[in-house]
Amino acid sequence: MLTRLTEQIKTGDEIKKQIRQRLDSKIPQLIGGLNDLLNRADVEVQRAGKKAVTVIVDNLDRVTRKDLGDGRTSHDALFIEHGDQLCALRCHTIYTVPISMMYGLSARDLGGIFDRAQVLPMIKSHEPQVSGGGPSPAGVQRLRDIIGRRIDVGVLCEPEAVEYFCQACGGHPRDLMTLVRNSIEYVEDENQPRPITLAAARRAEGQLVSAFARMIPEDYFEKLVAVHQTNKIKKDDDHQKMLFSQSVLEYADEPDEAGSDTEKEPWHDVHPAVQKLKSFREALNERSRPAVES
Amino acid sequence: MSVQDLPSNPETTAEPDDVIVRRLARSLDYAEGFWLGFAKSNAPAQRRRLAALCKDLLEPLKVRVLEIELTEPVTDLLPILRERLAQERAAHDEDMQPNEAPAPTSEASAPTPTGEAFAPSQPKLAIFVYGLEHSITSREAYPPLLSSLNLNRELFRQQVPHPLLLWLPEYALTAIARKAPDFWAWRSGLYEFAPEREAAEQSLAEVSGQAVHVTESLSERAKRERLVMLKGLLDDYRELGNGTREQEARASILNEIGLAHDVLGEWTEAKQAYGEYLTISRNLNDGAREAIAFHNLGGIAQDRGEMEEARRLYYESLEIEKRLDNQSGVASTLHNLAMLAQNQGELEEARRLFDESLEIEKRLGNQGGVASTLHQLGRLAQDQGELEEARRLYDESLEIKKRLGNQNGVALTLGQLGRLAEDEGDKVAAARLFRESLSIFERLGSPNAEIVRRSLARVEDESS
Repeated sequence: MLTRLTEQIKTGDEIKKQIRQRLDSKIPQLIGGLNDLLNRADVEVQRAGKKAVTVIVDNLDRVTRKDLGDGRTSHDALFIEHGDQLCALRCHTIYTVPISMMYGLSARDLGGIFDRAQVLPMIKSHEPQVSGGGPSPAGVQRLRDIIGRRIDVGVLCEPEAVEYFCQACGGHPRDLMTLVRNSIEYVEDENQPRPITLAAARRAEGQLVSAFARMIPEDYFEKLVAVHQTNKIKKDDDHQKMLFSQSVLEYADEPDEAGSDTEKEPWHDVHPAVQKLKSFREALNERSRPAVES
Repeated sequence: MSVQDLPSNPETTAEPDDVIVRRLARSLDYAEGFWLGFAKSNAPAQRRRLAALCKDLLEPLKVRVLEIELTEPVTDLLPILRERLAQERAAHDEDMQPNEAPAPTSEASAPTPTGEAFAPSQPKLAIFVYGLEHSITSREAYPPLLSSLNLNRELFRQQVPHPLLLWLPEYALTAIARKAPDFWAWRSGLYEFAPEREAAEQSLAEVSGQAVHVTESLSERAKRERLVMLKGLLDDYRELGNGTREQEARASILNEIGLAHDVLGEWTEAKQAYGEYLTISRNLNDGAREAIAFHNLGGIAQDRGEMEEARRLYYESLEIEKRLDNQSGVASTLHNLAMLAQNQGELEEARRLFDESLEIEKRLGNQGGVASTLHQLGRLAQDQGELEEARRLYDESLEIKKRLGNQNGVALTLGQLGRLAEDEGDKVAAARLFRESLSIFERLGSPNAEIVRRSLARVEDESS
């Protein structure tokens, strides 16, 4: 009964229409059936004293971003062209989508289809460049806590190493853990107290830097420098790819007052590991600091 | 001084291979459950040596290595891992004697009579995978393997509770990083082995200047393996530096890559490789290489039917070859120009150029060139209705080609003999010759297979 969504949709409106008609005829059935089930579940849920059913669909952010031609990607095919169907279930649904969808040309469509589209920001480990840069104590503390909950920091790490991890990960929790784990490989003396030294931390970072080196095409570095200096991204294909590959990260500021309605604009910065690349440093030197765009 | 003030950390400075292997062994020892690592090595010989070294280091740590060598493209790695793990488990269960069965208590195990601490289950197993690069070619924009790795990331953790180390050349790693970014993100370690100059030089010597007919006569799979090896070697030389020596090496390799794609009928990729070869030749001010580049690019143009372009490129090549008095090159380019003339119906011109080329080839004792030109003269004769003369020339060409082991050439001449038989009305003989030719072309993965297949269909239709 379940049909597979084909990513191999060839361009051409007629073909698109044909496919949608074929798929569409099965999907309403499917949705109808699920909704019947959900209606019944609702009753049970109320009886158990809960408010509602929520379905979380994870891992759709990992659909390969394929270029289907005519400016369409496989992400558009799934979330935009079938967006209405994704929303048709009679319960709260949360889908994970690739971050690049939130900033692409289809972002506005996304906003129109789904009730809410939200980005999970990185932990704010530092201030934006346009406000002077520099570490952000609250964010750094949060990162320290993440490490502290998993390993006995006092026994294993030099304090300088911990600070280095927090700065080098760019507020990205998984990269933080990767750095800590990799640093173990570079421990010189397993038996000394606090064996994870600053030196080991720096060498672990080298692996991360090297990994980015192979991911980023040469012509992206100018744009990356611009993102770093302005803390802004453009809504084009290249910036989407940078977000998708996590060479650019998104951060959110705390609201001005507690309970304030206005959310601050998110800002962006280049991953610290990418900033250490030779190509980035060269592009940075070449480019004089631009005037802040109005 | 805060950490922000420290000088920027450049990419990892090159560590010696054995230091990296020790680091790797330590990580494999510590790993529990699923663990994903990538090892970069461009040269198969280097990879074999390093893997062996790693296995030696792991033995005293009681870690066994399961090696999986892939030789064909695959679309999904997971089923292969599952199958091999199941086989391992079955084999290990067979090996276990009844009195070594797991004790029901959870206390620390007592040593068995052999003195080894008894393991409650199998000894720790690490998995090394080689040859994934065959599934990551430049032909496909979205290799299915990469999609499946990315989407099925969680399944690895569930189904492969072992450290998994994928050994790959540089270009394949880059493809994974870009096209399977979420799978790549789960890596716990990246081990990059620097290219070894001596090994690279040796590989280069073995690989370059191989006679074209030898490359043509490899099986399709051997051709593709050669391509993988050449690409890895190219990456190695890119890493080794940008001096004259490295550029010369890269030039030679690019021509070989072009030829490897060429004989597979992959003209776009071949043209790109030859184009890069031309660029480097110009940087090096190397006329001899430039002439080769022009000649080979001319060949691509001719295969694609761009006759004017082909002629222009051949004449560029010829001019340089004459200037450098490279007689062998002159003979080859004259041969191609003759074929161009023949295709455009200029038969007198064609014969003149073939004769000129043949004379040089004979003088140089270049048997391969002689065989090719005799074959083409046979075609000329056939086109002009001189069937006896054509057969004589084909037979002479075939004999030389067989002697030289030029399988591709043999298949070509057999195909022409088939056409000859067809012209003479002998459909049975024609079919036999076409079949013989086709089976060779199929084995070689040559684009000519399709043409011969059609010829065979034609005579079989008419005679049935």
